Amino acid sequence: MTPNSEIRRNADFDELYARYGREVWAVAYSRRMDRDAAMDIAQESFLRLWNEREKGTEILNPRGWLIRVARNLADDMAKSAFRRHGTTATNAMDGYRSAAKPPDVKLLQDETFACVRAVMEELSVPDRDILTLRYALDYDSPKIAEILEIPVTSVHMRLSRARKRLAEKFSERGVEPLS
Amino acid sequence: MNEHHPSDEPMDRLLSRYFQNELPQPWPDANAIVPVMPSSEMKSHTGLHSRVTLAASVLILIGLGLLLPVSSRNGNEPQSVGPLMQGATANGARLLDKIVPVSTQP
Repeated sequence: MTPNSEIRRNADFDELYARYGREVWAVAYSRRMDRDAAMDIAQESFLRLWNEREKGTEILNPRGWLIRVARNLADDMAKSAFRRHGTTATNAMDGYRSAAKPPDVKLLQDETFACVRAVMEELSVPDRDILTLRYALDYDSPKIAEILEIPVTSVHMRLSRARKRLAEKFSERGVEPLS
Repeated sequence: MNEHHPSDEPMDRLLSRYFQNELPQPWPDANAIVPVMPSSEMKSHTGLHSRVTLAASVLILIGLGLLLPVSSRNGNEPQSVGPLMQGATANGARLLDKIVPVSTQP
């Protein structure tokens, strides 16, 4: 392989990562509900893609391939003994992430976000897929439909249903979405 | 189908804030996944380097294994015992004879 083709290949990989990295993260996040675990899964997925390309495997649809790998990795992680019997909660270090805000503001935000997380965990994975792509990546329905390989009408329906469920669950917990 | 209702706005804002807080910022670049190195160089580097390291480690281990018995033959044997244990046998049959009684006198 010539140096030029190597540079092109690396640039191609960087472009794939820039284009699909967040989507792969979102798919992993909706399954694990843990931003760091989702980041690990996203990076592992891209590393596997890199290794496959190094072996000379031709991957025609890298986006679909990456999303499938991320889903499998997230499911495997959920099944692993370490995750099931781990000694530390996945959100144990959440309090150390953002020191910039005043403690009272941060406490309120943490409580609200913990409530959102708890309610999200009660939703189905397909609903979480849509909510993550919609709100984390600000994707519109056609783009979400393209990624999840479902009709746009299904995205509308699921999004509306997920919002309704969230509102009901917030109401059950006595939480008002902040304005 | 209408995607947004006015009543969804507080929920939208809350979810946007929640997910924006969750999304890693800044997004790590691709160098965090694979090192910045041309693939052929990485291949040859990792392959050759690890093999040389492994071969050197094996040679060192073999060399140490050969040296250790030699060094034990050349002067690292236990020193001869003093007169107290001379004539004592491994089964301890005459051991009692060798015990020197402790003097009780001041």
